[in-house]
Order: sequence, then C-alpha cells, then structure tokens
Amino acid sequence: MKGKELSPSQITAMVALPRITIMMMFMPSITRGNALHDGWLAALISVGAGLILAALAAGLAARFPDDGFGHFSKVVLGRLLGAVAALLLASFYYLLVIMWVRQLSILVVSVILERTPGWVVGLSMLVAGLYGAFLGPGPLGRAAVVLMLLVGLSVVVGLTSLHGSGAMDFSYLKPVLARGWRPVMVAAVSPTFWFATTASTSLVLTRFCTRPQEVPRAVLKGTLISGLVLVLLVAAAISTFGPRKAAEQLSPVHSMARTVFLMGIMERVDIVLFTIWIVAIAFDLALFLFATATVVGDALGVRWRSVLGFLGAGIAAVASLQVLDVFTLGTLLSIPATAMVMATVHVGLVGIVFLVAAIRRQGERT
Amino acid sequence: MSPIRWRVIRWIFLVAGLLSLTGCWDRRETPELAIVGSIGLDAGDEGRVLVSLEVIHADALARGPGPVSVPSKVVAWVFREEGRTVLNAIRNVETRTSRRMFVGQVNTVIFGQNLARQGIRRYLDVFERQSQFRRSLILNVCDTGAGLLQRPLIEDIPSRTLSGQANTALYAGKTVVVTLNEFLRTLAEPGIEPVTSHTAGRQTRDAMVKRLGESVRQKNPSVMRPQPFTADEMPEGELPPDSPVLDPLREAGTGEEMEGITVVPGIAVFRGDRLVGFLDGAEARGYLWAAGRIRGAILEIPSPLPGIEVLALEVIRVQSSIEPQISGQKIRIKVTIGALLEISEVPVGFVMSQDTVGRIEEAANEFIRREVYRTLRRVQREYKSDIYGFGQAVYRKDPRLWRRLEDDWNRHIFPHLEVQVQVRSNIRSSALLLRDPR
Repeated sequence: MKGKELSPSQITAMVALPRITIMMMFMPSITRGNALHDGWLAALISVGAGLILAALAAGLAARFPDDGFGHFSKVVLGRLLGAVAALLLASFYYLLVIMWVRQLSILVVSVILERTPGWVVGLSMLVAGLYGAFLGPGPLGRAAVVLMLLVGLSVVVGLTSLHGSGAMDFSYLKPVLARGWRPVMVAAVSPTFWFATTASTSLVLTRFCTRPQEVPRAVLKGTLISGLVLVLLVAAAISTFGPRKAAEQLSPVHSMARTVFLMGIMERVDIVLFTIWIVAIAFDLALFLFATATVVGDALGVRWRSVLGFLGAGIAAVASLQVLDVFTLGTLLSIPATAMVMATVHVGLVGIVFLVAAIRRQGERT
Repeated sequence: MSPIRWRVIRWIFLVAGLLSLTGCWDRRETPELAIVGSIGLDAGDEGRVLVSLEVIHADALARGPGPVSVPSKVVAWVFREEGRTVLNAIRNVETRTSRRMFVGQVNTVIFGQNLARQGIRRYLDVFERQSQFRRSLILNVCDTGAGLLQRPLIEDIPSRTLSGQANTALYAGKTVVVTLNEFLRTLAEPGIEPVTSHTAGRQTRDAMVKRLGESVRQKNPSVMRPQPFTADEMPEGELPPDSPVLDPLREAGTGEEMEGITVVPGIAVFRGDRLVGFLDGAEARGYLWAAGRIRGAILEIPSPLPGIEVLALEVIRVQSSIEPQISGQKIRIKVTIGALLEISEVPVGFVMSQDTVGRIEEAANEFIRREVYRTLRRVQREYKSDIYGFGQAVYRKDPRLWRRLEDDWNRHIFPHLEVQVQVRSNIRSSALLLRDPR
C-alpha cells in the first residue's frame, strides 16, 4: 500500500526514543522537586499514568487507521473546530522543537563547546532535523530502530560503568514517602505528560503503519520501555548524587556520565554518551517536525513537505531569539508550567477529540 | 515531489550540513595542550589559594616503536600560582607556558592541611561546575602541604602514583578512596559528615635498587663484605658490630635509601567542609569496620591459644549495618559488623580444630569491637563529627524526629550517643593448613 512504510516495531522505537533522549535535558522536573529520595517513586507513578494517556492517544489513532490527526479531527469536531484542534496540536509540537533546539544548544555550549556560539549548534541540529523530516516516515522509522539500539546500549553501558565505578549508593533510595504522597505526585505530573507527548505521535504515524491495528500495542510497548529507562535513570541519579545534589543538576544524565571511571579504560565516557544522545535528539527534531508538518498539511489541505520548508525557516528565526530563554528554561524547569502546557494539549485537546469520537460512535451504534 | 526537485533539496541539505562540519570554536589540538595530572591546593597569603598544577611531560613518557631516544629525566613540572579563585590561578599559570592547561585528565586533588581546616567547599565548586573535570577524581588531604606530594614512585608520574596509592592502601585497611562526587554527596546529605584519605610525605626505611654499574650513594660501606667469603670463615660467637645482620634497616647493598616518599597513613575527618583531624592506622580501621568500608587488612590479634602470642588474620570481606533504636526521646545506635577472615600467619604450636577456630573467632570479635570503640570515643569526644552516618540512619528511620534533632546533632547529641557494637567473625579457612609447618 502506498505510503504505508512503518512496521509496529518501528513505531515502538519512534515512541520510545524521544522520551528517552528527552531525559538528558528534562529529568530535572522529577529530581528538582520535593520528592527527594522518593523521586524514583514519582517516576514509577508517571509511567503508570503515562501508559493511560498513551492508550488514549493510540486508541484514538487506531480508530482512524488511514487518516492523520489533521484529517480525523475535522471528521470528529467539524471542519472549523477540527482544523483549530489540529493547528493547536501542531503548534505544541512546533513549540517543542523550538525549545529543543534552544535548550540543546545551551546544554552543548555549557558543557562541551564553551566558545562555540549557540546558534551554530542549533542550526546544525536544525539542518539535520529538517533533512530527516524531509526524508519522510520510512527512513525515520529505520533510523529510529538503529538509534534505539545505540541509545539502549549507551544506557546499559553507562549504568553498568557507573555501578562498576562504585559511584552509586542505593541506600539513598530510602526513605519511601518521608514527606507524604503530595511531593511525589507533584513530581510525577510533568514526566507523565512527556510520556503522553511522545505517545501522541501515534496520532500522526498510524496512517503510515503497515499494520495499524497493532499500533496501540506498539505505542504501549514503547511507553513501557522508555518508562523503565526513566525509572532506572532517576534511581541512578538519586543514588549517585544523593537527592539534594541531584536536585542541583540541570542535566543529571550528563553529570552521571562525568562520574564514570573504570580503571582508566572509560575515562571520558561522557563524551561518547553525549554524542550518541545528540544524534538521537536530532532524530527527535526530525520526528516532531515531520509530525508538525503532516498535521498542518492535513488540516489545511496542503502537502506536508511544502509546510516543512516554512517551518524550518520559522524555527531558525524564532529559536535565534535570546528572549526565548526566559520562556523555554522557565517552562522546562518549572513543574507547574510544563504540566499546564502539556495537560492542556493531552487531556484538553486529544481528550476532547477522543471523547467526541467515542460519543459519535456510540450514537451511530444506537 | 519530482526527482529533480528532490535532488536539489538534498544538495541544499548536504551543503548546509557540510558548512556546519567545518570545525568549532573550541577546537584544540593535543600539541597545544599541557595535560594536568593532579592539582594541589594550599592556603596562600591574604586569603588566597595557592594552586600547584602537575603538568605531565608527555614526551618523556612516550613509548613505542621507532628510534630509541634518551628519555628525559623530567617527567612533570609543578606550576604554582596564587589567586582568589582556583580557576584564576590556573589561568595565571598560562601566562608563562606555551600551552593551555588541559584539566580533563586530573585524577587527584590534594588539599593542604591549613586550607582544609579553613573549609574546602568554595574550592570544590570549580571541580563540580567545570565540565572538563571528572566527578570521579579522588580527594586527598595532606597533613603538610599539598605541593609537597609531587614525587613519582614505581609509576612514571606523580599523579598516577597518588591515585594508585589510594587504591592499593585500601587493601591495607587503613584508608578510604573518596571521589569528588561522594564528598559532595555526603556534604549535602543530612546526618553524615565527609572523610577523605590522608596522605603525607614521610621518611621510610625503603631503598631504591639500582642497576649494576649505576652509582649508588652508599652511606654505610660495611654492608659490602670482601670476597672470597665462605661460611667456614664466619667468626664464631658474636657477630662483628659492623655486620649487616645486626641492622637490617641500613641501606641495601645494591641500592640507597629513599629520602622521602608519599604515604597514605589513614583518613582525614571533616565536620561540614572543614578538616577537624586525622585517624591513622588502627584508628582509621576502627572507623572502617563500622562504616563497612574495609576492602582488606591484616589483623594481628592477641592469641587466645596457650603458647601462642599473636595470630595474623586476613580480612576477606566485611559487612556492617547501622540500626537506630528509638524509644521516646532516647536514641541508641546498634552497629552490627560481620567479618569474613582467614588465618594467614601463626607461630609454631598451632593446631586447627573446631575449638581453636571458635576461640580465635571470639578473640577477633573482641579485637574488632575494641578498635571500633576506641575510634568512636575519639570521634565523638574530640572531633564531634558524625562520619559514621548515625544521624542519616535516624533520618531514614524517622524523618520527622530528625528534623527536630538536626541542628543539635553534631554538637550535643552525637558526642553522647550510646552505641552498641556487635561483631560476628567467621573464619573461612587456614589457607589449607591444619597444622603449623614444623
């Protein structure tokens, strides 16, 4: 079938990969809160809640196996409201890409390339991301599987080396719920919606899948894999730095890599791991740019590749504005702000479409 | 999309990608760098910090195929500079070197005693914040000055000697290896105070053995006996006073005494970020038992067996747990130590049996308990620093109670804390010998 280029296992990788790579920059939302030692519990709770939201998105996508969100939102909500809903989702994805480019360039120039201007890093990532998006779903799916293997390997090697270095003290994972459930639940909010964000790409990808009926299972599998990695990394961060020092880290994953030392063999493993993760983040940019372009294209009835050109130019212009730092950094590190933005999109937007679709279907049956 | 258009787009991306791969602003080639192996920090004048950078002479260490050149005798340089901040002092060094300092390979940071007693947190910030530094670098406190430690032994360079010593001294059971990451973590967590290894420059009885033909500065010529020398000519009765047998600590006949080397005698104890004292030898081991941090050691315990004065036991493995027992306002700490030992050296007269093993285990229990209590008393009364993490155990058991105790813990509660030590030794084997070799 023309355009059906993705297998369910590729969709699993495409859902899991962005969630895992996001952790390099966005894990602070868990470790920075007041949950302290119980941060790993927050991660665990977020996996459970994330699975529910992932099921919601994947379930909605599976009902329209041959349409993208830009199409079926119009079918469900009507022409005007559907187009507005699609453009809102696309704006959210677009915002994420801008934040990613900006935040990644800040991270890279802060820890590795201190004298290189941030725009050079951002532009390089943007070029890679745009090219990936232009290639379309097939190459993206194949790249996801290869990168998933690399990132998985980097997580396993990184954690094993960290443990081998004697840096981890698991006793820091206690006490359980010393400060009650509230801080744990608050810390779990933001990661929950990150799971939902990556799972929501199924709203775009399902129509490119060779076996769309298997997409919900593939999405849940991807969410579960990335959830396992989140719990492991949060537990590793707490036991390596202690909860209070973990809370000070802007990028605990990078700091963990700096802590690895194995008898002089893996002295600068942080650079190797960092490189793998940056390549994977370029994939995330490509995926979300592709998702943005297809949703906008479907909503407005234009070809998605044409949309992509405008999006690329737009990002370069917007991401270069320094004034955005206040907004992006504030949003990324503020649990309520991140949670609010994401809750609006996932519970508000996707949830409404899901609800209306379900009501309509019920109506048709009766 | 038409194939031609698609090809044009691909070319645009290719060229754009190539432009971003031309290099970065941070490019630094190896010949432009001076690789720093270790950093020493001492108290400088007027509140400044004296930074000693050990810069490795990479050319002197180069090995490999090719024409053999005469190796340089200089293996490293130590550049010293003062500054209000560590980083500024490092930059100041660069005013007289042709290469930029590269600190990515620093594996040891040594603090001089004076500076450590003033507090080291402000100086640690640079190592934590600058991503070039590894968080796995080892922290040491030298009881004299940090800059005095720059002497290689066995290894090619001083820093490798220092980091190697820290690891091997672990198996003597008298020190700890504390990384920057662990120190910062302990400093940040409630109810536990940090420690580091204690290093010192000391005179020893060791000697360097040189090649035949190399000149030896032999201060005691009597160790050389003229040839021919046969056993039949040995004088009967007392040996002559210049006999080397009488003084085994004089220079070896083939080498010369070393003037002074770096040793790792024990542990440096901190309260907060300030050094409060040292625990050396058996005192250090007294701490290590309770903290469960012994990797290996030889215990010379008084023998419980008749006719045998002392036994040597090798420590194979140690586990310990700290359990706070809280009843009302009273807190008691129970420390349980499990030690797996091996009989490694006994004088004549030893016969292995179930009974003797049981008695030796009892003696070992008592020996360990005494060591723990002796150190504990000193740490509680003199240092007033909870390096064991008793407070942390209370926090983990009852965080609300800890919040009430936290402010007074080191000053008023820890020094008077009742600690019960329970030791359970288990002798695994006697190196496959049932009787002593008579």
